[in-house]
Amino acid sequence: MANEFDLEFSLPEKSQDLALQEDPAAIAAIMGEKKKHALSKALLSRSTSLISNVFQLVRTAQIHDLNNEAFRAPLEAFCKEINSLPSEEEFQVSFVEDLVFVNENRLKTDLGSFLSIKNLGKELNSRSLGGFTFRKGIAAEELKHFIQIFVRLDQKLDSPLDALRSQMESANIIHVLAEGVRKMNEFEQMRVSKEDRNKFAMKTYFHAISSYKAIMKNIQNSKFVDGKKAKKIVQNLVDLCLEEGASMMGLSTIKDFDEYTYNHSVNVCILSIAFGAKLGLDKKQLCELGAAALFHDLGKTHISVNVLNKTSKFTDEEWEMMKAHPVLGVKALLRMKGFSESTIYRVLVAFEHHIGFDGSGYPLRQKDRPLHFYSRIVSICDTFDAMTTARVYQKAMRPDECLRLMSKTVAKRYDPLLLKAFVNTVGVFPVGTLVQLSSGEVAVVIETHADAAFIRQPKVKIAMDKGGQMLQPPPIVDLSETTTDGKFKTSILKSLDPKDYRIHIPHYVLT
Amino acid sequence: MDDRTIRSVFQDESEKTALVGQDPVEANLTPEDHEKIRQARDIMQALSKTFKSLRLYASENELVVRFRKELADRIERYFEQFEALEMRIRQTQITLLGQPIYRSQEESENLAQILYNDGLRRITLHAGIPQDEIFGFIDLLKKASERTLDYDHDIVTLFWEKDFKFLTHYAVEEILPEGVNASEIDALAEEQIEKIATLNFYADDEALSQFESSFAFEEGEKRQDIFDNTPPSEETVLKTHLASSFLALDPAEIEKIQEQIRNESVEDLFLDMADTIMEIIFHERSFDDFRMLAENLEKILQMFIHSYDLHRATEMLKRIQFLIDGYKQTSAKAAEHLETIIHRLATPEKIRGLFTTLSQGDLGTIANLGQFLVQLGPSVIPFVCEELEKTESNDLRKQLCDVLVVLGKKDFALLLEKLEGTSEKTIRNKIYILTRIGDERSVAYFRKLIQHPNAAIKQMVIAALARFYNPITRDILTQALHDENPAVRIAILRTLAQLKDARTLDAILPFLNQAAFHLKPLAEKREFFSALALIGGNSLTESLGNILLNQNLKDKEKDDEIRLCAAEALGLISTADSVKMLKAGMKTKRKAIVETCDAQLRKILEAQQ
Repeated sequence: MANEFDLEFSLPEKSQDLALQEDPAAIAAIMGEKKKHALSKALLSRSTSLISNVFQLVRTAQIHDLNNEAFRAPLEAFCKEINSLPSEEEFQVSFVEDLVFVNENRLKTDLGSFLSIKNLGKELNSRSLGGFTFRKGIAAEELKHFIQIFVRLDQKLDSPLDALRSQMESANIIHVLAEGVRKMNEFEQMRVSKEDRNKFAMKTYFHAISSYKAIMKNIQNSKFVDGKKAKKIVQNLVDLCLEEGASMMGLSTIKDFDEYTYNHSVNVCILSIAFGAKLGLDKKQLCELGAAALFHDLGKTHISVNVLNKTSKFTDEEWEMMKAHPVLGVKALLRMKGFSESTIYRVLVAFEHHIGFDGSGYPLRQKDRPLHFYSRIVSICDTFDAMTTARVYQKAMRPDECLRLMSKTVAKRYDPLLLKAFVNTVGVFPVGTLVQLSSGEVAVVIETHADAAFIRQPKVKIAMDKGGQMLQPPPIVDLSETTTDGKFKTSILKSLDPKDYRIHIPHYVLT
Repeated sequence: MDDRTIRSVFQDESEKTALVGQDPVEANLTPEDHEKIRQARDIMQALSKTFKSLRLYASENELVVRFRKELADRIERYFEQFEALEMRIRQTQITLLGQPIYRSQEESENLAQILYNDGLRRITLHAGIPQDEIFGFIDLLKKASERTLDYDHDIVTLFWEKDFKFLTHYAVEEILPEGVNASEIDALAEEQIEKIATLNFYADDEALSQFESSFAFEEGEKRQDIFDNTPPSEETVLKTHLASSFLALDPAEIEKIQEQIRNESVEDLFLDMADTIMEIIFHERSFDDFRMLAENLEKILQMFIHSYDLHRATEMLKRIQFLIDGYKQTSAKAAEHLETIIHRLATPEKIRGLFTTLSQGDLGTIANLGQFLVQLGPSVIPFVCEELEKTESNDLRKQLCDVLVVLGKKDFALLLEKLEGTSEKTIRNKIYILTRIGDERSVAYFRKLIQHPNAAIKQMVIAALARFYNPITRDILTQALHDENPAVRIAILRTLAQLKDARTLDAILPFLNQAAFHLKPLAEKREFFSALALIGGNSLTESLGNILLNQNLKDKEKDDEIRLCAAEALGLISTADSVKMLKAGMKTKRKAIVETCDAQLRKILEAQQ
C-alpha cells in the first residue's frame, strides 16, 4: 500500500507494528493519540475556563487598578487552579493561526467558549506573541506582575517577545513563559501536510459514499441492514471533523450528478456534524446526529429514479409519492437490524426533516409538537446542500445566495436561531463559493474565519487573475489581512457561478 | 505503544493479523518482565472481582467500592515502576508478553471473550491513567456484557464514545456493509481523488456535462465564455449580501441553543418516536406495515414498563387507545391487533411484578401505577383486587380503590365477583368503591352488609345507601333504625334528616309511642326529634306542641326529657305555629321546660334579626 506520510512522519520508537506505518488511518490515529497523552483529562476539562480567566485578567488589568478586587479575585482563583494541577503538569496555551492548543493538544472550541478564546488570541496577536505557559508554584503577586508587563508591552516594538522576556526576567517571573508566533507548518502536531490530510479526508468521504450506497441497495433488495455498521461510517466522519474542524465542510463541495442521493446524504451528514461540533455537541451526540443526517432521505430508496429525476412538473400522484419519502424512511429505519437510542434520532429526523419550524411542510401530523433539535439542524443542512447542487430540474445556487434565500424564509421554514448559528459556522461566503474580488481576481473560498468580525473576509485561492488567466498553483490569500490604516486589503464584491467560469470547485477546496 | 481502532476498510485480513505482532519467547523474559507480569496478574484479578461485583450490586455498594479501590491501588503501584500495561486479548485469555495474566472458565463473565468477540485485540493502559478512566472501562465492560435491547453497545463503539486518553485499544472489525468490497471502494476513491486533484477547469461543455448536469443550464441560456470582472454596483453588493442581523450570535442566543442540547431527555424522545410511529400508523393502509409499526410501538411500551416509567407508558397507552377507537370505525382487524398489545401487558406475572417493585414507592410512583392500570382496562381487576387484599400501604390502597372505581364502571360484574375479601379494611374499601361507582346492583350487597357486626362499617353502609336513595334503600335504612347500636341508629336518623323524605316519618313516629323510647338516652331522643323536625317541618308542629304541653305524663324526669326534645324540635321548625307552641310552653310550671322554650324563642328571634 502506498504511503503518503512516510517522508514526513516517523512512528514512535517503541512501535512494534510495522504495518501501522503503511496505513494512513492508523498513522493519523496515532498522531491523535500522541498529542492527547500530554494533556490530562482534568486539565482538558478546565482548559476553556482557564483561558477565559487569563483573558479576564488581561481585560480587567486594562480597565482597573491592579489592587482592585475585580482583579484580585480572578487572579487568586487562577493561581489556585494552576497550583492544583497534577505534579509535573503545566498549562500551556498556544495560538497557531486560527487554532488554539493546550499543552500541544488542539482545543475544541464551541460557541460558548469562542469569544473569550478569540479575544485572548487577539491580545497576543497584537503583541506578536503566540502563547504562554503557566507553571505550578506561581504566586498571585508574580502573576500580577506578569499581567501588568504584558498589558503595558509596547506593541510597536520590533521584537515585543524579547522585550517581554527581558522585563519578566527583571521582575523575577519564573513561573510564566512567553512564546512567539508559530506558523501551522512549524507546529509539531501538524507535520502531516495539508495535502495529505485532504487526501485522507476525501478517502474517508468516498468510503462513506460507497458504504451508504451499499446500505441503500441492501434496503432496496429487502436485505437486513446492520445499523451498527452504518454508525461506524459516521464515526469515521466525526473523527475527521474533530481532527479537521469546520474545514471538513469543504468535502461537501463534492457533488455528483449521477449519484445525487448518496452524495447528498453524505454531504448533509458532514455539514450536520460540522455544525453540531460548532454548537458544542459531544462525540457521541455528533455520531447520533451524523447517523440521523446520513439516513434522512432513506425513504427515497423506495421512489423510482424516474420520479426522483423528473425534469417536468410532478403529477399529483408523483408528488404524493415524493411526499411519502419521510414515512417510507421511517419504515425502512425501523426494519433495520437493532433498536436503540440511535434509532430514535434517525426516525425523528427522517420523519421531520421536511416539516417546517412553523409546522408547515410534510408529512401532515395529527399532533403538533416541537421538532427535534437534530431535525432542525438537518433541515437546514439538507436545504443548503440540495439548493447548492445542480439537479436535472434545477441549477446549482451559489452558496451565499442560498443562505440569503434561506434567511428570507426564516420565520416560516427554519429555526431562526439555528439558521443564524449555521451562517456563523459556514460563513457568509461558505467554503466553495466562487467570488469576484475587489482586485478583479476570481477566487474560491477555501476557509472561513470563525470570528464574526471576519465573516466576510475568508481565505481564498485565486483561480484567475484580473485578466482572466488561470493561475497554477493558485495562490492563497487571507482576506482578513489589513493595510496599515486598518482597512482590508482585498474584499469580496460578489459571488459568481462556477459554471460561468468553468471552474471545478472541489479541486481548489480539497487539493 | 499507541493503539487505536484500525478499520478493515483500510487494510486486509493479513495486515490485521500482522498488527497484533509477535510475543517474546518466555525464556527471553527479563526479571523486570516477570515482575510486570506478576503485577499485571494482580491487576487483572482485581479487575475481574470488580467487574463481577458490579454485575451483582449497585456501584455504591460497599463491596464494589472496596474492589474498585483495590484495583486503582494496584494500577497505581504498577505505574510507579512501569510506563505502560499492554495487554493482548485472545479468545479466552488475556496475556502480557506472551504470558497469561487472566483466564476464566465462565463464559458469560470471561472478560477476554467479551472483548475478543467484538474485535478487541489489544488494550494498553498508560501511566497517569485517572480513576475515572479505569472505572469508565469497567462500566464499559459491564454494558457490553449486558447488551440486550440496545444494539449499539459493541465495545469498539463504547471505546470510541468514551474517548479515553490513557486507555488505548486496537481492534479489528468489519465495518463495511454487505456487498461492499474494500479494494473496489479503495480503487474507486482513488479514482475520484485523482479527478479532483487534476481537474481544475472544464475545457469544454462536454467535459462539464460529463461531470455535472448539463440540465443545469436552461434552454437557450448561454454560458459566460468571456471573462468579466466588471465590479458590481454598490447597490448590487448591498442587495446581494446577507443581512448583518444574521451575522453575530449574542451570548444569550448561544446559551439558548446549548440549553436545548442539555435539556434533552432520552425518555421523552422515545415518546416522541412513539408519537411519530402513531402518526404513520394512523394513515397506514398496508397491514404488513401496520403490524411492523405496531411491533415497534410495543417495543417502546415494553421499554418504558421495564424501566418502570409508567407515566410515559400511560401516555402511550392513552394514544394507542385513541388509535383503537379510530380503527374501530374503519378496520376491526387493526383495532383488534392494537388491543392485543394492551392485553399482552396485562398478564398476571407482569402486573404482579409491577406491584412487587412499585408498591413501596412514593406517592408519585403509586399515582403513575394507578394511571397505568386504568389504561390497561378491566382485565386487570382481578390482580388489583388481589393486591388490595394484600397491601398494607394506605397510599397504595387508596390508589387501587380509585383504579377499581374507574375499571368497575367498565366491568361491574367482574368487580363484584373479584372484590370478595372479607377483612374489614377490604370491606371498607369495597363500600368506598361501590359507592363511587354508583351502580344500583351494589344495593343487594349493602343490604347484607348492614348486618355487619362492626358499627363503623354499618355507618359507611348507611352513607352509601343515602347515595343510592330509593324506596328499597329507604326501607333498608328505616328497618335499620331497630339496630341495637345507638350510634348506628343516630347515623340513620341524621341521614334521613338530610334526605328529608316525608315518607320516612311513618317509620320514625311509631318509635315515640313505644314504651322503650322513654328508656333511650337523651342524646338519641334529641336525634329522633331533630330528624322529625327536619323531615316533617311545620306539619308536625301540632303533634310536637301536644308533646310539649302534655301535663299528664307519668315519669316526670323522663317525660321532661321528651318535652325538652319537642321544644328543641319546635325551635328547629321555626315557623309562626311553632313559635306559638313555644310561647305556650313558657306558661308551664316546669322550670326546665320554660327555660328551653325561652332559649329556642331567642334563637328564632336572633335568626330573624
